[in-house]
Amino acid sequence: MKSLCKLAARCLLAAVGVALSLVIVLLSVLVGVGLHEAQNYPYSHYQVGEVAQALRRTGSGFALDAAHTPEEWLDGYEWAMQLDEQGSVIWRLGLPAGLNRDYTVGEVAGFSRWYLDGYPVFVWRNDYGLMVLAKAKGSIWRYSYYSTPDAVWVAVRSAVQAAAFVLAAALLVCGLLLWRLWRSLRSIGEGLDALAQGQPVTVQAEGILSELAQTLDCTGELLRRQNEALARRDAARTNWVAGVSHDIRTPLALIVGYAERLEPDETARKIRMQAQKIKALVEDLNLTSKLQYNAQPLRLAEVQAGALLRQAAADFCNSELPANTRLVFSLDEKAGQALLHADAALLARALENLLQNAARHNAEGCTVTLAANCNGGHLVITVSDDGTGYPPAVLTALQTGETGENTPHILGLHLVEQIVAAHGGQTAFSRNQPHGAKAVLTLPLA
Amino acid sequence: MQDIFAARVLLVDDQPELLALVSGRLRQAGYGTVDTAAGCAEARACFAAHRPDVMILDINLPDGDGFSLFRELRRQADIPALFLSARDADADRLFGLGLGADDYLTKPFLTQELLLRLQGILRRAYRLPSQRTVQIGPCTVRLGDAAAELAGRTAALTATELTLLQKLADNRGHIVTFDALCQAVWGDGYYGYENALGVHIRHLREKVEVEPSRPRYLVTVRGLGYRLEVQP
Repeated sequence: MKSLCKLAARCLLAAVGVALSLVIVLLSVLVGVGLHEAQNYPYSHYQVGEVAQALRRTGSGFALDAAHTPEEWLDGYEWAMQLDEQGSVIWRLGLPAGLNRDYTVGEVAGFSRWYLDGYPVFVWRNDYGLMVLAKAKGSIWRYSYYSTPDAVWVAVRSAVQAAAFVLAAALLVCGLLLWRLWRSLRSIGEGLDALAQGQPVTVQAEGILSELAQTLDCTGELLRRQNEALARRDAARTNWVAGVSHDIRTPLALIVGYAERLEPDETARKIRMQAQKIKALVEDLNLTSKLQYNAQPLRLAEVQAGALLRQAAADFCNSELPANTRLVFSLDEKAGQALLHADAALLARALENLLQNAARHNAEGCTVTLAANCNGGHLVITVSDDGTGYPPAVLTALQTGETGENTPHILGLHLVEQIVAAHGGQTAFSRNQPHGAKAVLTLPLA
Repeated sequence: MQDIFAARVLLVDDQPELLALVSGRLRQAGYGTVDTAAGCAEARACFAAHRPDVMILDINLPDGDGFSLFRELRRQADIPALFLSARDADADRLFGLGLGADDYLTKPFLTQELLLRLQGILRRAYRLPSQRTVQIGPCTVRLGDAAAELAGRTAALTATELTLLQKLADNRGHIVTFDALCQAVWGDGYYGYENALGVHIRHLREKVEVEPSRPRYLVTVRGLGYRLEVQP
């Protein structure tokens, strides 16, 4: 959503930028055209005022300043005349004969504003009266404007208001268009979010984005079907493992039962113990497949870490262990009273797997240590032994999590990792010093 | 019923070998009458013909499921029952116990454990006094009378001491954690009773051990709990 807002803001800025650029370009074009056209304006070298001020009284009458020739002064003009205060022509240059006469006040008022015999003329007052300069006929159109000061103000104000109105309207239209786009984009954004979270997607977008929305819908549908297929396959696998382990249980029960009947015969005891190992393996297999495919809901409850660890230690001591196997149990006071939010049966299984693993792989006996302490918000459980330790291949597989063709089978330890991970904790397997195996489980406290 | 072995047991399982194994073991243990059934229909017929005192039911049966069978038979008579199944999911176990079954044991199981659980169920359901005696070295404890005889003297055990001793004797040779002992005596909210447990164990030792300060049978396993050593 945040990125969508940014996008909308950028669109708006871009629109404003484009509009401003357009205005600037238009103004530039206008100025350019004006400048260009100004060159075509009927050319005159000197302004009316300059010519009027250049008139000098001479002994025989009047003449233009001698700095330039009369032709230079009148460059761009058809003719020139100087009227005195009475309207009589007292000096002329190129004046058509028909115009060489006296002018009434009315005529002067008329041509100073309009035309004199079709000539557009310009007038300038000087010391001797009125200088009149004429341009070629038809070279200039003359207009006359009047306005009150109020009218000018109203015009300026209206122009500003109109500009503001136009700007607001433009922004509104821009905003509306953006809003529609934003709505479509938002539904697509929501669709993408849903897709990312693996939820079903239905996107409704109009206009230009509808095709995008359809593609998104198709993608969502495809993903949903794939997920369904995956879930079905996972469920089938879990059910298959559960079915096999169920079917193995009854014959195992018979093996255990008959072997038990033959005890205390040593061979019978061995048969029973192996059968019980198969039972543990089948349980591990079942559990690991359920945990992997999330088919095993955790039965979370408040568990007192001390009770859980003591029970695990006692169960280990109570089980049939190789001779010379010893357990050292160490629990600091805080860890003993710590509470976990955990599935006690699953955690007990993880501890049992670690402890039994130590005993099973050190047939000549070893000292197994089960220790726990609190570290920050975590309970750190260490199961270590002074036996032969994990074979390098097993340790590599445990530490890297790589599964290849030659990966050793570490079902029981893998299950430990899964159980701890399901509780939001971490498992680290390593070599114990100076020798032996070491597993450290870090579990968050309740 | 005078004695748990007088109980009539109905055993339902679709596996004939398992029926043979378990019924054989039950008879060997002393149960006089064991009826077996391979399915729901047979079980109903057996139940109608001779009302059992306790039932051991499998869950997956060829003509129905053990849960429904249990509900149906329970409606006719309140008879204690134990589920014995290959279904080990927590959900199944909780469902079975939730229906009102007295226990749930998953296959494969130790027949010895089945016998012990069955005894417990019968004793609780029919309130049979325990005839059991526990031999602790030279001391003989009659659980039924809560009496400990040592060197010609008889000491009475308190209810707490009796519960503790029973729990330890049930797990003889095995460590029983402080937590398990406290729970047996005080139930689930046992936290904080660890010191009281020590006091009760000391009193118990005074009644069953020759040298209570240097116990030979009721030993402490440091950090974990107590163990009642097996008789040499």
